[in-house]
Amino acid sequence: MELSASQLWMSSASEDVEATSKLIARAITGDRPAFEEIVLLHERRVLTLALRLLGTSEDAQDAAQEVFLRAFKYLRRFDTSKPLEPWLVRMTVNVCRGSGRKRTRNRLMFVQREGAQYVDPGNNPYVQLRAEEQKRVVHEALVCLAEKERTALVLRDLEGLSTAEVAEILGSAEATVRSQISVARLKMRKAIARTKGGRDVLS
Amino acid sequence: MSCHEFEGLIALYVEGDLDGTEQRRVESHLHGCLDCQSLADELRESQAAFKSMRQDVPDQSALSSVRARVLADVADMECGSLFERLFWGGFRQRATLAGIAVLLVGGAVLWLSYRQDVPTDFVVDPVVVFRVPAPEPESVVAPTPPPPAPPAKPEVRSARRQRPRQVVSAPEPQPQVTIKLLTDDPNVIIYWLGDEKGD
Repeated sequence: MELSASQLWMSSASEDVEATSKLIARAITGDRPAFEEIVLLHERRVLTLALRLLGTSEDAQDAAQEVFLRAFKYLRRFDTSKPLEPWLVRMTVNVCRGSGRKRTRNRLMFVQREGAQYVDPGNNPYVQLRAEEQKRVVHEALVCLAEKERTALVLRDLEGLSTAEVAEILGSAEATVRSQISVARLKMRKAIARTKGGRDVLS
Repeated sequence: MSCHEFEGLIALYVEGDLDGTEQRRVESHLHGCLDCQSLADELRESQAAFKSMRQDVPDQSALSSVRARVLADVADMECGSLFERLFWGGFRQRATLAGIAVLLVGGAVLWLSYRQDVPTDFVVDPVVVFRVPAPEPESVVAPTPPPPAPPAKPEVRSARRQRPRQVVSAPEPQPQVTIKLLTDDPNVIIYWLGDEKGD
């Protein structure tokens, strides 16, 4: 299943702010089902973004858990006249950037470990193996990027945010984000070309 | 602009991130540069591979796991805050109030003890100086009539704060007699001051 990145962000714009506001008001007063509903509404977006930023399911789950706990803690401060999802996306980026620094030294381990999780023997083994190889190559290229470049690239090309939205989330100037995205794409191209040239047995 | 300078723009161009003017410049350059055309093709390919990551979405078990962990933690936090409100919060409140009370009582005790040190009836030791009128120079010893008793002028030498003492009343001035004794040595003159009783 492919999530349409632009649709994901746009969904936050069309998010029913009034309904969300009521849910938040109930959650603040200790209504646990209301908070559970908030989690249900946004868990896929948060976990998907964390997975793309961190690369491993375990790290992504930890990050998503942290995001929702922070949301629960600071829900009173949230301006209910605004949609909730951009707030959660911003929080996810911040949590992932923090946890990304801690696990930088383990980056090669997770790429090799994560690669085996997507093999589905029910499909054509050749196609499946080739897809896995491509995924591995992209992951390796992605983790070689600087943290800010990786975050900007994921938000722009996978999450489908505009450069202005990425700049707002990262707290950077739009020109800076544009430059980071450009540099990141060039690095990805180089890393993928190098990896494919030397190691891809399927090509 | 050189091809190297166009690289950054081409990386934005392949995803449609350039405005009209920049886009036309890049297209004009690509029209006549095979190397940059090759770079643009490679960028499109790597971008397609990268965007294939959109298919990586978490499975339902991962979502359920996160939700369960979050709700469990929230329940713990709520229990913790309830405990804090009922016990720890109350204890802190009581401890704060007790601390304030101790400070108030201690301050009051110190203030009272300080107040006891301060003399309430502020009495200064009267130092009375009796001015004796200078005797008339005489060459012989002769009883001098008692000079008119000048009114005693008590002078307060110091007004420093002192411990309370008994009030000392000034003695009644007595008529005094001054006796001047001349000796053989002109440098030695002896004055005798006494009252009528001879004290």
